[in-house]
Amino acid sequence: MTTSEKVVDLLNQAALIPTDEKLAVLKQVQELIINKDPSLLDNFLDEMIAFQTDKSIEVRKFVIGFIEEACKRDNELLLRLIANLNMLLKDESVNVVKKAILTLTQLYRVTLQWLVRPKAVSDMQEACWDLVTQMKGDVLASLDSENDGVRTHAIKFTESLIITLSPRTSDSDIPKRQEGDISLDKVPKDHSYIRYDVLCEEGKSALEKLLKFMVHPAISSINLTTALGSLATIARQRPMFMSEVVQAYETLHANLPPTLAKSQVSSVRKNLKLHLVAVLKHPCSLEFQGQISTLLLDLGMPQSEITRSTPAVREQRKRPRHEQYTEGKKVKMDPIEDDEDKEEPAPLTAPKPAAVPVAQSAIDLTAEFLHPLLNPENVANLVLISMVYLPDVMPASFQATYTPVESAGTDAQIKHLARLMATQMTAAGIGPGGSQRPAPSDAQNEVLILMVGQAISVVGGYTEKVPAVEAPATVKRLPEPIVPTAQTKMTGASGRKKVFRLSDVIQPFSDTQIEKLTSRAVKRILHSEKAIAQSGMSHVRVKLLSRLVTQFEGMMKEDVLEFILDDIRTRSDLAFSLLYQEYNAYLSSSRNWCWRTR
Amino acid sequence: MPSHPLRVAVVCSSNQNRSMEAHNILSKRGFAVRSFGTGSHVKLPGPAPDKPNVYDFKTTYEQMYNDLVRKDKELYTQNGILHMLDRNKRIKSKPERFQNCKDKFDLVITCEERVYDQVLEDLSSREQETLQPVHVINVDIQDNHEEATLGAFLICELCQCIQHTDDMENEIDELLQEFEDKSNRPFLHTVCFY
Repeated sequence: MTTSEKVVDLLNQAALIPTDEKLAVLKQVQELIINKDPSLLDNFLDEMIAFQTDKSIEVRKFVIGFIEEACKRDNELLLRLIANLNMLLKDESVNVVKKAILTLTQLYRVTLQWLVRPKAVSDMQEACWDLVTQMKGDVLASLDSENDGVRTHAIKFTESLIITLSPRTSDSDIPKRQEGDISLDKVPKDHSYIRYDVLCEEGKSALEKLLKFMVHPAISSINLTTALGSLATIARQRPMFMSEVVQAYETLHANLPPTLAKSQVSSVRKNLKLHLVAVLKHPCSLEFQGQISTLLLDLGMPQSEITRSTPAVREQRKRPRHEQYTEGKKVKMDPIEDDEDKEEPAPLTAPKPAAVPVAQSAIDLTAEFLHPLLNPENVANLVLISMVYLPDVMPASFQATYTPVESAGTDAQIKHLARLMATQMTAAGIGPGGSQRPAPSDAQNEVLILMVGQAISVVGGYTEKVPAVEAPATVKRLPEPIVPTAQTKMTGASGRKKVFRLSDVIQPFSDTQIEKLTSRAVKRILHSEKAIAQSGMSHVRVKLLSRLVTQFEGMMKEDVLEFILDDIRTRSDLAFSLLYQEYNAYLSSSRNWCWRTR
Repeated sequence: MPSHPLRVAVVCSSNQNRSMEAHNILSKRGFAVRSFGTGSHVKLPGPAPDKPNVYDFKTTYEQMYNDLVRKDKELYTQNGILHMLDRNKRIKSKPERFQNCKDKFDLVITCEERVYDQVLEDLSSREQETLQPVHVINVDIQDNHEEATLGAFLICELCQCIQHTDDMENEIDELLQEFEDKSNRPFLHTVCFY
C-alpha cells in the first residue's frame, strides 16, 4: 500500500469510528502527510479540515493542531487555512477557543515572518495579513472575556505579541528555541504592505493593555500570576520595557487586589518573588536593583539570597533604551519629562556630564515630593488619623503577609515608604507625578480626604495607607476610572472588606456629661446678653431661654433664675417670659389631666 | 464532562510515602496519574532522625526493600517502611524525579510547600514552547502514614471534582476555596506554561 492509499484508508475509517479511535487515526494521517510525505498535504487538506465541524471537542482541537503544523510546514497553506482558524477561534466550546488562541500565538509569528521576506506581497497575502490582524485584535479583546481560562490564554498571546512587535537588542535574553523567531528589528521599513511604524505602535499598545489589565481590582489570582510571568519574560527579552515592568511590580505589590483570598495572596506573592528574581538576574536590571531588592526584602527574601541573585556589575551602563526607543508616533516619556521641568523650576544641579539624564516616572516624582514631608510629626499624625479607620482585629491575610520594618527611621526606609505611598497615590491619580497640569493649585483637602476614606476602607489585601494630605501643592485630578484600592464589588470574598461606620467609633454620652454640656451651653447663652442686644435679637434669646428651661428638666432653671435675680431690673423681660412659659406649661398639663380623667 | 481525562502528577520529596499513597488511590479510581519526587536523593527514615537511609533516584523499590531487610528487618517492619516499599513496587519499579520528566500534565499536586517551590522553580526554568497551561496546587500533608492516607483521599476528591467540572480553568478557583473551607487546610495554587 502506498502512503497515499494508506491515508485514504485511514480517512475512510476515521469518518465512521468513535472519537477515541478517530483521534488516533487522524494523528496517524497527520504524521503521514506532514512529516513522511508532505507532497500529499495539499491533496488531503480538505478532507482533514472537514473534521473541524466534528461533534467532539477533542477532534476540533486536533484540527487546530493540524492547521498549525501544516502552516509551519508550508507557509502557503496559510492562505487557505487562516479563515478556518478564524472560525475555530469563535467556536462554542471554550477549550477549542483556547487551543485556537495558542495556535494563533504561533501562527502570527509564522505569518509575519513569511510575509516580510518578499518586499511585495500578492493580494491574497494582503487579505491573509488583514485577517490575521483582525484575529489578533479579537484575541486582545478577549482579555475582557468572562471566562478565566480564555483570559489566561489571551495574556500569553499578548506577551508573545509584545515580544514579536518590538525590536530585539543586544541585551535581549532570548531562549534558544526562539532565536529564529521574527521580531520588529527584522521587519523592513520599506515593505509594500506591512507598516513598520504601525506594528511598533501595536506592540506598545498591547503592553499598555496588559499593564492596564493587571491593575483591574477584580483580577483573578491565576490571571495575575500569568501576567506576572509574562512581564518577567518581556523584561528579560526586551529590556527596554524593564522600567514599566518594575513599576508594574511595585504597583501590584502595594495594591494587591482585595478580592484575593488569603491563600491566593500567598501564592501570588510567591510568584512575584520568583519573577522578581528572574528579572534581577538580568544584567539590565542594574539601575532597578534598589527597587527590586526592596520588594524582595518586603516579600521575605533574605538579603544574602538577594545578593546571590544579583548579577556582578560589569561596567557602568548609561541609561540607554528608554531614550532610544522613541520610534513610532507617540513617545510616552515626554509628557512626564515636561512635567518634571515645570515642577522643579530651579535646576538643582548641573546635569552630570557622564550619565544620561534619567526620565523620571510619575512614581519617582511623587516619591521625591513625599520624602522631605515624612518627618516624625507628620508621620505620627498620619498614623493617628489612619488608626481611626483600622478594624479592631488584624485580618488574617494581613497577618500572614506582614513583615516588621527592620530599619525604621533610617533614610533608606523613609525613601522606601515614600515610594510605596507614591505608588498608591499615582495609581489613584493624585500627587505631583500623577498630575498633568504643571502649576500646582491649592490643595483640595475635602476631596482628597474623601478619597482617602474610601481607599483605607479596604482591609483584605496587603495595602498601605494613603496619606491625608497635610502638605500644600497637591493638584486635584479626576481619579482614574479604576482605582485599585477603592471599590466595592465582587463575589466569593464575603466579609473581607470593612466599610467605615460612624457608629463603631462613637460612644453615647453619660448623663452627667449631658447635664454638664447643657448647663454650659445655657450659661453661654445667658452671658451673651450684651452681644445679642447689640445685634437686635434679644427677643429671640429671651424666648429661646424661657422655652428651653420650661421644656427640659435639670439645673437650667436654677441657673436662669439666679441670672435674672442678679439684675432683675434689666432682665425683667426674661423673667416675664419665663413666667409666661411656665404658666402655659401648667395650663396644658392640667388640661391634659382633665381630658384624661373624663 | 470534560473533553479529555485529566493528566495528573502527584509530587512529594522522595516519591515514597505521600505521593505514592495518592498515586495508589488515584490510579484505582481510574485517573491517568504519575508520581514524582523533587529531592536530590531519596530519603527513608533510619535508626535515628539524623541517620536516614539515602538512595539515588535510580535505585528500585525492590533494591531498597532488600537493603533495609538486610540492615534491620524488625525495625523497618515495625515502622511500616517495608510495607510501604512493598506497596510502592507493585505500582512502579523505582522512584522518579520530577525535574527529569519531560511529560506534560494538566494538574500537578504537591504535598509540601518546599516541594511546591521546587516544582515551580523547575517549570519556570524550562523554555516555554506550546504555552499549554499546567495548574500546580499544593496541599500540605505531613510525612507520616496516617496523614499520607488522609491527604491522599483529599487529593483524590479534589481530582474527581476537577475532572467533573465542565470548564476546569474557569471553575478551579471557586472549587479550591470550597475545599479550603471544608478541609480547613490552606491550598496554594498557581499556573505555569509548557
